[in-house]
Amino acid sequence: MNAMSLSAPFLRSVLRCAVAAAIAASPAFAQDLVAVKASRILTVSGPVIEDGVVLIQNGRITKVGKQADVEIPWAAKVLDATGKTVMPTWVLAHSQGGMRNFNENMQNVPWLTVGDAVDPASPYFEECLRNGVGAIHVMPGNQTLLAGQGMVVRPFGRTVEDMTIAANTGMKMSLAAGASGRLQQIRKLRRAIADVREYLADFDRRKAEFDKEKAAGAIPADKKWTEEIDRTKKGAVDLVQKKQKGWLYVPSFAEMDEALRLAQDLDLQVVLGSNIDEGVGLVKKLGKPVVLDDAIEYFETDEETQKEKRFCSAKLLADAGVPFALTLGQGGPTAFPWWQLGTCVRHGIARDKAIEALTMVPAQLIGMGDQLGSLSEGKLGNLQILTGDPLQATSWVETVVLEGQVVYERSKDPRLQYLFEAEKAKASKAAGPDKKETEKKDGEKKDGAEPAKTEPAKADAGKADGGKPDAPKAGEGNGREVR
Amino acid sequence: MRAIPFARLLLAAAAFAAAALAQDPAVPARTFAVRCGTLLLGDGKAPLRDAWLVVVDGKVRSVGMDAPVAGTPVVDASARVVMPGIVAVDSDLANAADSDYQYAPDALAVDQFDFERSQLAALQGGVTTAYLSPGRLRLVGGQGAVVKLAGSDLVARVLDDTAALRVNFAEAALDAPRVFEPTAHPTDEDPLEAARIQTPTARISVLAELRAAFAAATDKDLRAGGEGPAEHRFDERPLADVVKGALPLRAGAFLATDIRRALLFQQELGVRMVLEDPQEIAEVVDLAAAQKVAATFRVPVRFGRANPGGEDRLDKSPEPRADAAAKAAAKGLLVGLAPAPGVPMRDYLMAVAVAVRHGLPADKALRAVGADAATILGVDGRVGTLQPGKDADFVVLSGDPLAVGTLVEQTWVDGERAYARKSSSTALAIRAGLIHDGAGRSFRNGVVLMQDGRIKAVGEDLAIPYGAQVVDLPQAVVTPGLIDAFSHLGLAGEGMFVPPGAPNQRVHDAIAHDDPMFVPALREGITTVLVAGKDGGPVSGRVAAVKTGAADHASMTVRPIAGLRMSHDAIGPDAIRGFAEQINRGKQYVEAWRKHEKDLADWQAGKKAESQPAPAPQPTEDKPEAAPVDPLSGVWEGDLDVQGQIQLKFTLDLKLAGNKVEGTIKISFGGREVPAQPIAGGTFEGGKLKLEFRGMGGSATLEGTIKDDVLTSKITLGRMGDQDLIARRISKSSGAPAPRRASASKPDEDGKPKAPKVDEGLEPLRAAIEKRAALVVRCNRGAAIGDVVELLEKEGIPYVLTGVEDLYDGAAPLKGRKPAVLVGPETVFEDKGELKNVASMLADMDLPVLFGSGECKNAKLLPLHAAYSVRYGLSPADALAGMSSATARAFRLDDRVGTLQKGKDADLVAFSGNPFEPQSRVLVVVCNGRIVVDRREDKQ
Repeated sequence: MNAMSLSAPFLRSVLRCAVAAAIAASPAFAQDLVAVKASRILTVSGPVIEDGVVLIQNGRITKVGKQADVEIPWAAKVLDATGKTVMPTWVLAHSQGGMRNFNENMQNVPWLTVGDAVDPASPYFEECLRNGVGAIHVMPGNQTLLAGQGMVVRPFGRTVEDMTIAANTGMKMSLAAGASGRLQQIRKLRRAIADVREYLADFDRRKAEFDKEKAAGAIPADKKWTEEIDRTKKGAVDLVQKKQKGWLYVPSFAEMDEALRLAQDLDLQVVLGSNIDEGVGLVKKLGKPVVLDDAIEYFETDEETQKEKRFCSAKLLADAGVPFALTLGQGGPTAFPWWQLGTCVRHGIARDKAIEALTMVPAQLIGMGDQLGSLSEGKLGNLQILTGDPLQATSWVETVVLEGQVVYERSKDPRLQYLFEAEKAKASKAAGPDKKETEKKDGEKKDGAEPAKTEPAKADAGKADGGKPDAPKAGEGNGREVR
Repeated sequence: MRAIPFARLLLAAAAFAAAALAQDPAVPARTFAVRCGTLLLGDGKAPLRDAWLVVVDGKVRSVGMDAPVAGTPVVDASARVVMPGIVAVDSDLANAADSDYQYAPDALAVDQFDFERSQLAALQGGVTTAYLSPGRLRLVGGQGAVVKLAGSDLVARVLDDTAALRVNFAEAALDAPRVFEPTAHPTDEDPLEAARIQTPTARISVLAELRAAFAAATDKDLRAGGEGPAEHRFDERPLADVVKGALPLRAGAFLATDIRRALLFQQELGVRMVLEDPQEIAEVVDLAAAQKVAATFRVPVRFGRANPGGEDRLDKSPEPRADAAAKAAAKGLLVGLAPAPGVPMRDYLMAVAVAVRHGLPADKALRAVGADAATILGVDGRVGTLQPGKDADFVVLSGDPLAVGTLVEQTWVDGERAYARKSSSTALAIRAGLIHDGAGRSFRNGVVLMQDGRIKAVGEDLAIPYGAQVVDLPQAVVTPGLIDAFSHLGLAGEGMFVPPGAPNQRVHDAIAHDDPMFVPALREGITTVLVAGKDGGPVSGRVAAVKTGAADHASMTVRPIAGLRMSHDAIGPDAIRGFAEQINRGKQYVEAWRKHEKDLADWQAGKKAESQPAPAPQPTEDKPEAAPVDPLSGVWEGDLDVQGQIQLKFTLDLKLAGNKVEGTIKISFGGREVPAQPIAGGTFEGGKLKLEFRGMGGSATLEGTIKDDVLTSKITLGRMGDQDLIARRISKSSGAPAPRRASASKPDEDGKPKAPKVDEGLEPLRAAIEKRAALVVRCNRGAAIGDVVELLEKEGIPYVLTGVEDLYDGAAPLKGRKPAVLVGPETVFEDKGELKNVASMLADMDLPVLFGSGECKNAKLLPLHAAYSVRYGLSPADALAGMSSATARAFRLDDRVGTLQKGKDADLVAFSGNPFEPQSRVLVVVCNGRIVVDRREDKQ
């Protein structure tokens, strides 16, 4: 509810058009009729549906409801997730993953775009699928002034074009001071933006003079003003003209002052680092939702008592009534959605609010609140099938469906297979000779050269969900080989 | 005029509450009055005494003698010094970074200041307003700001966001790095260029560079649109503001040559200039005075920390001049002071005091952190003095602002308390005209400093630490708290009988710490009493040592067992046997305990050895258990006194095997037991003993001879060097059987040896035998005295004699020994028409005389009993010792009471005069560090 009410101011019509265009141009996803039957459906936007079904047609959700209420068309491919949980894929509002070099060595490079750096083969995207992430707003890194454009991608596809959901999603800016100190960073950013304004003022003045001279007859009437905004300045000009969002990285409370000042003249989306406890009031003054970077928990030593205090930036913001989006890290515990959500819940944030912070809120912040973030009719058919509750560490993402297409199945995840084969081998070595099962498997091993690939599902199913049979066999054939 | 880069004040003006100080509702805010003992106004003039500072709505309303209107909340600082909040004329609080570029006039120090962070160190130092410096290295480094260091309203805290433009004439301006400005898309017209050198690179071009820059900035018409919005003239605008006179210059200049150049530049531009830390100003001070520049100095002394370059004689960096501020002030320059970089702001006033040490008059020094500092920063309309209308920024100090022990107790900013020191000190200082420490030293106009119930220092002219409670008694004579060597205090109330004593009485448990009977004794200065029940029989009562002025029962007991009262007066052959049997019972009991301790130690050592993989094989002991008595085997005990400071007790448990010696050695000190150490190697040949063992932080050796159960030896103890040790054999049976066998003899679940039963009746004897207490033996007849002394000396048991009538005729029974003798209350007798002073006679025999009242209710008269003895010839020193140090020593209480020495219990008495003058009265009594009697105001 809370997150929904925010939507209007943050939807940029420009972005919406871009999204629509991008989707229309990806026919690979516009196909088929898929029905996902599940014991539990977390729609996020609405109540939890027990024994429900989600119908996806041409990549969009057409129906969400109880199995008793919804008739599954005979032509539909049925994904049977009985005993499992279905929910929307996660949305990351800000990420530096999947790129080769996420910052230019030069700081002021507004003409760049992450599209030139995203590597579809990056293991990061694989990891995203494994964690059930369906949309990633990739942005340049934080060591910069004006770093260039970001883009929203899906973590699936062989080329950047395949992956693109939306391009040119905003200008990355940063107040993270490198070696030069906060003062100089602030000063450099002010000057960089002032330079753009100055260029724009000069451009406008020249154009006005041209028009004036044309009106006065000094310039032939058929001569047209041909000069365009310099391509190296276009993105920055859009920023100062508020045609585009600036995504400003604010490393701590100490830079919030300057962020507030910049927010007076720019359309800013703040991405907050840690150490914000002293400045929550300033964040609130911003009057907008913020994106938190992945380190939401941090420690500080109190100067007076020398006691270490633990803070959760998400909780601080929740207490102050500032809506926020969570993000995931690359590697480490914060890379797991259950860890991030669990951290929030452990600090006292309501479970629903935490889940929204990784689905609906980021979807709205990247301008796709009507496309992503929940299982509701009309949105993209992005969902994940989990073996259990998303907040539980023992839950696995079984299947990821993006726009009606199965793009990930755990049973076919080569890395997991590799890992669990190793585990299995270890287990069989450790077990005594009196275990029948092990004996049998040992025998298999002696027989076949490739025992692993024959029964991968059994191997990890036994580990993760208590030996339930591997469900989404129905999804087979809809995998990558189709494309 | 809209100026975006300087738009800090345009920021939303609402109060920002995140850093709001937690206000105690009991502390008034914004409107109140301060009762000031001493009030310094910050203008360097003489302070006001007993004045009122009236604050209304965060501003000073009035200062002076006029009391505030009734009902105004009052902050009491009537015993304190109040001064304006310090204005720090320079600081590194912004921690501002330097640009790579020589010109960064638009860099604002205020951008790097953390308003949300607590400036605790500065507030602890009384600093309420500070100049924030931009980076100090570049030619034009940026603009400084002036901010308040506390307050919840972020906007109001900025007094000036662009207070001055910093220009650098010093060495560092010549070392700017090269800058590389790559073209993103190089073309023929816009090629890629190499990194650019930034001038100036030598002093010769500094002025030229600056002149050019300022001329260029003022040449351009900044009002006209130019090529873009006017407010974006980042580089030119601040310089133009300087020329217009809207922005002062802060000139960094250290050497005289740089200062001269700065002054020349000032003359050319005719602008307001503040010289920043011109250490060599003495050489150009006349010029500077003529040009009316101001100067800020960092007092170049970093007390309490290493000073840069100080250790290196070859260090070429220019020497700072500690007297620079004084020289400048002498010529009339406006001077501001700040501590050296690296000195925390909490020591601000100490830095100011150091400037005074180097010649700056104290009034100028205080102005340099008050009125003059504010003028230099251009904020004198708001802060710097406590004149009506100014901000209510003030500091409450514990004393004179420039005294070493003075600390800031409270710091107030805009009428709100931003800092209050937590008073955690329990220190108490008694200043007196004369202090007898009871150990033979006296101090005139001395101080006894006490903390946490113990004495911290005694001496003349001691610095009194911050926060200590000071009691000034200029006429008083201070002695240790008096000890009554024998009394029944606490054992009987009014109208009750004193119970008979018994060795198994837990006397200290029977006494209440707040027994009303204690009060009269305490009021006469008796802080410790040795309490026992009524005497009767050969072994009568346990003696406990208790405090009369303790706060609770736990701190009341000095020793649960300080002694055992016995009596022996039989004479004749073997008359001592009954007495000796008592002692022997005690010895057997002690032996049982010793054996247990040893078994326990062995068992623990065995356990340890078991847990270790390969213990060194113990020498097997196949000898029969009843070893033949040889001159060595057995338990030996000896005391060692290292230079009167460390008392060690040695217990050697030795066993002779051939000429090899095995066993353990135990060294204990201060009542602490150190686990027994095995002897690493030892030989015994021809009466000569050699031992090697580990102890006292190194290897130690013992070499000595044994004769008749007495070991006379030299012991070499690690860093303590050589000491003489005399030890006696107290048991001929070695208690060093093999650990396994010992545990086998008394098995517990896991072989742990069982402790002997505690026999309360024998515990006092055990304490005496273990030298933790003394036997008080009443005997009158010469022969009995002789027997007792003989026996107890032989056994090495501490003892005190009492009665001793036959000693009045001569010390012969003592055979040269010097036992302490307990006397009182009657010490002066009439004998055949002559007055005999027993105390004096015994003292003349060189015997320590201890005074006991033997009273309950009238224990308070003890000092007068002693005075009476003094009247008839006892030396006052002996009399005092008899109620303090000698008693403490005799009863082995001297680690706690009896003298005024560091580490002892803080018990003392302050008399109005000589303690033995009947006219003198007790003024103050301190017991366990607390003032328990204060009769200074009593009219008698």
